Amino acid sequence: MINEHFLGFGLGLRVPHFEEVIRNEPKVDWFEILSENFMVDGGKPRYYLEAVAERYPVVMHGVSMSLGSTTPLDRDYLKQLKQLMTAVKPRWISDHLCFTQAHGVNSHDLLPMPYTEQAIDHVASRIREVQDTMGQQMLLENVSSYLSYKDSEMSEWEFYNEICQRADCYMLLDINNIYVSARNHQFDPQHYIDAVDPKRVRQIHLAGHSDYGDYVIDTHDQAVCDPVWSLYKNAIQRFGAISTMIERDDNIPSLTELVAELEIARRIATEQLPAISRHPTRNHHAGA
Amino acid sequence: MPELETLQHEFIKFLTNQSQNFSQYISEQPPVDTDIRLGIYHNAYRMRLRETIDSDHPILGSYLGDELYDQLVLGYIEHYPSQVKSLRHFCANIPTYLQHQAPFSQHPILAELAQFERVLLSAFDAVDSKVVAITDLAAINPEQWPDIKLTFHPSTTIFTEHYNSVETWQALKSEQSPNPAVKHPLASYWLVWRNQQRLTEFYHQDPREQELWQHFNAGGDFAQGCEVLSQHFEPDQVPLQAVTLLKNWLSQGIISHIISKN
Repeated sequence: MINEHFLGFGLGLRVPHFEEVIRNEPKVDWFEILSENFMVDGGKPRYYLEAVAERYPVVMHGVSMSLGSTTPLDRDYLKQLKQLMTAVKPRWISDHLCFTQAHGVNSHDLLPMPYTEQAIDHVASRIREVQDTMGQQMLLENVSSYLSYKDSEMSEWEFYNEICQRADCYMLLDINNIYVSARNHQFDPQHYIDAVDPKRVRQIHLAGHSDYGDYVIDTHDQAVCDPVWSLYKNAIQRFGAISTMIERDDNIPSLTELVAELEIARRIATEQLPAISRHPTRNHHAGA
Repeated sequence: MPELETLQHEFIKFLTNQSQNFSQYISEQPPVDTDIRLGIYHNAYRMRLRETIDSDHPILGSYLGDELYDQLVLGYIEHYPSQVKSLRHFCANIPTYLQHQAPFSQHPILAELAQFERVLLSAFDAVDSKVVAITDLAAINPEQWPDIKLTFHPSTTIFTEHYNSVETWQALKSEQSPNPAVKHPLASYWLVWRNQQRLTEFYHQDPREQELWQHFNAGGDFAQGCEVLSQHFEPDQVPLQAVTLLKNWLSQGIISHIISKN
């Protein structure tokens, strides 16, 4: 039930916590870094990253690959990414099912794709190209969205499944993004989780959002809410032990507070799968 | 793939205020209006770029005050849609924008202040390199001295100011009111670098030190460096002055290599 890809329970590595992570080595099994934040030549960011990578398993998460763009893949970006991979030796790399660039302008936001056959072919072929360049399979994350295109021909989960199958890549399933998009497009988030191909899920993201009543925005500035925890529990039941982490990008609390929140994920997952407590992650705490 | 390309182009044109036709691609999904849905993306683009300017140019923001700063942010985002993958480089053209765009262009210290903040940022994440310790000077034989050349730490750079911009930066950094902008009669030089604790430092260089630094930075050797200084000092003082400056640079940790022929 628990495979070698299960890293346990991790956090996103953020600047305010750099020093404390190295000094105190908190009870976190692994860290996810935002690749672009470390694509610099040297100085503090790279010093701390290398120090963290010596102590913890690290995975690299990108926001700029723009897998959905119709312009050619940015070879300079891929080269920089590969250089960073050489330095960090991540367990895997991931990016998003979206586009972030068109006609020379970068949105710095994860813009949704139309759910069409044409887009499936296009994104799957670009992922294969990236995987060939990087020499390894990557993870693809579902994004939050706030609009639907008239051109869409299928559901998001059908689109996501099909791309991952054709590209032969893995899924980074963001449970909060499913919840946010479900609220914004009025579908059942459980239906999404039930439809995802369980063989392809390798990582789970959890995060908070801002609720405006009729719609929800994925702000990563709040604690994980109860409905998302509930979906997470169901996801673990369906997918088994999946490396799970919490993303927090704004209104960042103390590391202690985030570790406490991560313990909720650990508890929920362990209740569903007691074998998790016996799995040798970096911070193995039997019965935690 | 014309449909996908057109849709993505229209989305970007919408984000950058170049088109209002994008809503024709979007499904109506009551109860939330399409305008609200589109507005989420429109706001997010601006908010992220604004946060980047806030983060890169806090002192410039303090100097301008809220109203002018808002004008800068809005104007810059409209004039310079992001063409960079990393937000680290989004503000690279702010000094140029301030230099040429009224009302900012009427106050040349603004572009200089912004440039100083960018120089500090560049030093912060420049390439790492070891530095030579002052004790390493003892390893150089006397006959090697005329030929030695220096490589400075990759973070080291010279900031040239024509106004009291660094003094203004320092005042605002310590939450003091800055003096009025004043143009210097001659250009003034500041050496900026990242120290071994990975903190950015800077100090004012007098013109003679500046000339010698430029000489070594261009690949000149010690003997030629002494000739540079001979324009400013008596001949018997020149070697001592050169060695004093060299020791100062070593103690500051800005020299990565001392290269000798042997």
